[in-house]
Amino acid sequence: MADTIPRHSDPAPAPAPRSRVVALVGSPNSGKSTLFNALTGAGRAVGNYPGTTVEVGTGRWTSASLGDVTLTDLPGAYSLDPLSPDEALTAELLHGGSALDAAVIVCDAAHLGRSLVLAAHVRQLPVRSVVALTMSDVADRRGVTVDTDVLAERLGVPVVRLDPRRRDVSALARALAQVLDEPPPRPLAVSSDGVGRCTPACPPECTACQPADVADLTASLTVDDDLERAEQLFAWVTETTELATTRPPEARRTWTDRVDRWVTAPIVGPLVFLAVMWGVFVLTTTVAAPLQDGLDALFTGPVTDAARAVLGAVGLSGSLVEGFVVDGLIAGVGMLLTFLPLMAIMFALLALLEDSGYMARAAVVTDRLMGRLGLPGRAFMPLVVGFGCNVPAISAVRVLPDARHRLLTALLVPFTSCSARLTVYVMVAATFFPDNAGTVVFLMYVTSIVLVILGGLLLRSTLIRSMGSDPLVLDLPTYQRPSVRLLAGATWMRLRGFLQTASGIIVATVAVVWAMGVIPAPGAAGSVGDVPVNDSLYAWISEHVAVLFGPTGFAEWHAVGALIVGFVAKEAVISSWAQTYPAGSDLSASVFADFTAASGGHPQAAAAAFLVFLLAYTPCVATLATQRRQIGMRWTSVGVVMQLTMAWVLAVAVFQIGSTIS
Amino acid sequence: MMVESCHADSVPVTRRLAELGIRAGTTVQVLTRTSGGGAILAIGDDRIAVSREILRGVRVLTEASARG
Amino acid sequence: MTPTTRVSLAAVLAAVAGGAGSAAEVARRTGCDPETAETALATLASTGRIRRALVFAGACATDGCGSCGSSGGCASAGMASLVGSGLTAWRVVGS
Repeated sequence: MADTIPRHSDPAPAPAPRSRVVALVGSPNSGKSTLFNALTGAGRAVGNYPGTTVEVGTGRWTSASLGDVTLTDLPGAYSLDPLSPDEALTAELLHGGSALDAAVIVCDAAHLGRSLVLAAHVRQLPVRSVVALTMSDVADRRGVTVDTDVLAERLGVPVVRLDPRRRDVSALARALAQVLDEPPPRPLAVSSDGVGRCTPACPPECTACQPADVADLTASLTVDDDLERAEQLFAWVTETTELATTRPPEARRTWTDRVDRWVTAPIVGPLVFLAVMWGVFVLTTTVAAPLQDGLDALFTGPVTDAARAVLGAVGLSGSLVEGFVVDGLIAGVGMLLTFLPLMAIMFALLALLEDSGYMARAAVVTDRLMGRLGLPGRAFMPLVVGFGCNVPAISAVRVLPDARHRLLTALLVPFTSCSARLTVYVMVAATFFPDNAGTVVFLMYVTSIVLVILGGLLLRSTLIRSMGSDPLVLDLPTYQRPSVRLLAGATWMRLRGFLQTASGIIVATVAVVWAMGVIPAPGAAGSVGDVPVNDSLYAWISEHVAVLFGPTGFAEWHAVGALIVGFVAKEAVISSWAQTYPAGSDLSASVFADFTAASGGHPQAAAAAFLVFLLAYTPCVATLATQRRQIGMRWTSVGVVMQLTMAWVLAVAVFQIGSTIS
Repeated sequence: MMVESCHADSVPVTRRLAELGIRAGTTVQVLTRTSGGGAILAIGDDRIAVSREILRGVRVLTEASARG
Repeated sequence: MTPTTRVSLAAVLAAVAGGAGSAAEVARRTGCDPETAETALATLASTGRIRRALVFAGACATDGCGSCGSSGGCASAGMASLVGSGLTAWRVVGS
């Protein structure tokens, strides 16, 4: 084939049709995978590219124009950045010459700019290429049209528009066949006066047209401190995008907009929000509860039995070691794991709301209300979650972009009354207010909300003064169907974070409480492990702490001991309270008797004070651990001080006023 | 819903609005009024929810008066 | 052909360094339109100056990449699949 056009590179003829290898390049969200699947059918193999740890998909594509082609789906997001092994491989292969016969650059018509960045990079290498334009339907819906001729002219390679509805890839095959018959196209040149393309009229000594060495090119792009070459690439891409696309002057109303008319409306909006919140709350508690019970049963049953069996076989039955392992470690780990269903469901629901786009609308609706508390609208979400369990609620504080808001919200979450506290409310209410138990429980929740508001005002007027009002400016993303894989990934990552944080501290404190129960009090008879509970270190400590509770009306060691355990975890309150009395006694009766005595004849006022204290003081060590991770040790300590102080002051007030009235 | 050209008004709010993408000459479209007195604005393909305070800080020319 | 507002990569890089994590935020801060911001971010990513980082998991944003499962840093496909979900944001490399 004689020609008079001077060539700058030595064109290697494309190899025989039998053994062609074509690579698909493009960012993951550009429809590349869909195209790959469409071309290769079911025959996709995934494996490491030989000699690397990078996963690539390969398959066979058969078409009339091309025959059999081995299609390789190359990884890589936006570029040929050598810092990432995925993209370094892609860059290497594209530059390599013999390993690859051609590349199909997948470009997203709805996001043409960023697709062209990769295309521009690829086009600076001597690779035979064709551009496949995907997502035209999405672009159409937005009123954006892409002119493939202009694009082809600028890129210097054929551009084929893919119609997803028609599944007709013959045009792509034909373009590829044609390109394979020709020598590699001239690379896009990056020169000091902008990115251009060498024309056939370029003189042979034109340095701008030399095929760039990959390492050289990307190295220059990264070390170049004044971004010069990157700016040129960027300028070329934006200019090309401008030339090739047209968009309508006015914003199109979309389905999202129509839904938003209701979801953010003055009356319907808050109602929708409450419904969603109620749904989250109910789903979490009803779905998690049986799972939690199941896990609890698993640990107190089979796991404990197995441990006893193992220890028994080693001759440690009934020993202190057995007590430590079973009542300390296993109990601790069991408690940690029973949190998991709750956390998992909570995280998953949060991720669902965030990913679907609803979360932003919730922020809009609650903005006003939250503003009064000095919080952004989104703070409503963690607070609502807190009514289920404080631990995921504190993690949920991450949805707030501002650090001060995160701090304030994280400090207020403990005042939301979690479901573990509810178990104690129910028991105490049934014991002391048998005719109005339901109302009493309801009042606890009202008090909880009041405390959140009071706590907020208190913090904002003292420690977290400089908040600054933050008027709402929020991006509303399009509603989209959340991806299950994404939700699973996000949930798992957050769960893992929780486990890393909480495991140590929960197991440790449960073990410590157990130890206190088996160690005799100073001066008491009995040896370690063989001491009645009344004479244990636990009782001794509780009695001394109970002194501090004098004015609250429930200054007796059983109740205070239960509160001490409650500091570790509220779930353990009732069971350990029962354990402080002789086996077989009626807990309600015992507690009633003790409260009557301690309060000087005003058991109900004392009970009310007890409930308020329980509501307001530190939720549990898991909360502390999560808070520490979220806001640091110092602020967590501030929180503890605040909780204990408020709890004590309120309990005293309630008892003093209550005992005067009754 | 009218298409409006926006001109920022008082100085402290101006910066906030500039971050928002609303500058002298920007074209925005008011799509919905929200609970609390704010609104959802459309700027191109973007949808942005703003509070009442922000909305107040924007002096607006309707398209009709801009044309004169 | 709708003209778009011009912006320099340096300005976009400064916006990301200043906390803008998404194309929309960058667009607001620099005064360009969102599509151009997206293109600019892609260009900066291609030079390795910025990357996607996980926002909420804590594994990347605060504790470093030790606990991260992907081998190639956050530019690999695993991370890229979280793009657009609100769980990732742009960060300047080395910050």
